[in-house]
Amino acid sequence: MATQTLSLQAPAQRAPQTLIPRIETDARVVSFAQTAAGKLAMLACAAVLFYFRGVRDPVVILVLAGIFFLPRHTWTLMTISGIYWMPSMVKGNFNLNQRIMGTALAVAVAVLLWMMVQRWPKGWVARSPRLSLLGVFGAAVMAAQVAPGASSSVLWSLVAGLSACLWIFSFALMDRALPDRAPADRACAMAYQPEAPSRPNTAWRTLWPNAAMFFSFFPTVFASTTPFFKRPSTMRRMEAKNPEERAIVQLKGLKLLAWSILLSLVWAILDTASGAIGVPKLTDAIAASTAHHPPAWYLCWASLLNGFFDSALRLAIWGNTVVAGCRLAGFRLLRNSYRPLEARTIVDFWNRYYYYFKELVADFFFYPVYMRCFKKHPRVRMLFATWMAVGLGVPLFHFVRDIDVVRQLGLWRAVTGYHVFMCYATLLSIGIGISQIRKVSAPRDLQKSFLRTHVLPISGVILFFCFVQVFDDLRRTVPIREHLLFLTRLAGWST
Amino acid sequence: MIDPDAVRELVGSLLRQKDDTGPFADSDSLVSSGRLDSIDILQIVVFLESNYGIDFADQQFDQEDFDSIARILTLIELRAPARK
Repeated sequence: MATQTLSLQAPAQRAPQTLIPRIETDARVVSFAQTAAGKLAMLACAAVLFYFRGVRDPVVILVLAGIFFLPRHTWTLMTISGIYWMPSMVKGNFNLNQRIMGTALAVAVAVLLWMMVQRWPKGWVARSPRLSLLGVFGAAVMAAQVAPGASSSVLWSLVAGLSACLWIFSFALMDRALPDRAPADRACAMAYQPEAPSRPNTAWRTLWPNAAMFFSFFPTVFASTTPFFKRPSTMRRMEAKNPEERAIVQLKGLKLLAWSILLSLVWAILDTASGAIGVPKLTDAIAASTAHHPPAWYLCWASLLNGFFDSALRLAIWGNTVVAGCRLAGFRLLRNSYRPLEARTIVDFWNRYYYYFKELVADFFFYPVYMRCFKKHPRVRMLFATWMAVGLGVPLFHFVRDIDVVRQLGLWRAVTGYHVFMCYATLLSIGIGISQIRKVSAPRDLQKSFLRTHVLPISGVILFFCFVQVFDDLRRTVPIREHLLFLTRLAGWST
Repeated sequence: MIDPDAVRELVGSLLRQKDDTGPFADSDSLVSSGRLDSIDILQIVVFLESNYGIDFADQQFDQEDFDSIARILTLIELRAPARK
């Protein structure tokens, strides 16, 4: 069977774009993009667009220039730049030296675990790399809590370093712990793709190429600890295989960057308009309702809807910027947010809204549980795995990410103050779990009217996410009764 | 006995559920291109568990094993108990 060039987008994504021309389909543009002048033009466009998106670190453009003109050294350049950006991801009240020390200590821990996986491939660390890393992280947090003076400061910098890199380290360790894929790859190639060139996919089995995953930290202040390259082995597969494919991917990166600028404009207009007509921010509306000066019920609803669209837009703008940068580096990444407002089920929205975070919790929490627990009870199996992923995995991710709150509030207050977000995650997991079961057991009926196949499901999805976002509060200082009180305002009570 | 047509039919039905009626070859990448998502993978997992007795609990689960029909068929060949 002939091997075809892989499409970057799903068929639904191939619809012609009207706002931004599909330049990557024009053979003349693609061949120009492979010339030195074309590369310079693309770099200039990227620099301008990144500037308007607030990514103003010249190192980003320097690294991209290196990748454009020296594609053979892509991984090396990404590794070096990834290591350079790592300290900027250490959040909290640390000076530069402490950030560098925290990052160095975190890398040392990861290298140690890596060596343990390599030395003892059947050992506990190799069998449970995620738990091992989380165990080290937990132990470091506890030690930092009780350690005196200077040693506490060192331990907190380690904790902050681990918090920034934990998920990427975990993916790297998981990949290293996986059995060598070469035999399976060879068997697949021999049976089904005999004409495919032999391309051993084993670079990720050595240590340093894994650091290239940190390239997604390039927006620094806007960066997330979510791994966009998913895993080193996946990253290798997503790399453009020839100059033409690289040019196409880079053009798509530029387009996506332009799209994120357009979305920023939409966001700015919505934000200004909602402020002008007096729609309060959701947190302000909740605070006002607690202070017994609640906005009118219709303003509460407006703030809820405004909050929903605000989050969806900001996530799309930010995610598109990161994915655009990775595409400019020559990697065929899917978009982070893909038309979330077209989702007709809760699980579909979750899949479209923040793709790479969904992949993270699926890989780390969902699949391991789904493959092992309640295999004879399909619905319980699905609900339990979903609860582990969304009800537990999502709060754990945010707890690790915002670990500096533990330093500020102390462990007890940081944990107990987390009950609002835990409530959010539980509601979300119930919604997603039920949605998954419905999707599997009751396939969509295409004979229904547009109202029933589109309007009602999409409205229901938006309503559900509007409702749960009332509890999407990571502040830990606002008790749940304030959020519940806001819900009563929505119903028109207590006004 | 591996039935490649049954696997193709399953994948085809999953794609049709998403209004994706485009053609797909055995070697086409379906997961990393975004045509199949994690819920679809679960349905393939359940299919492989019930039809081929594959137990995914015994080793690390790798989504890439489901990236194409060719990969799924290789997975069955390598991991179905009757063929071990």
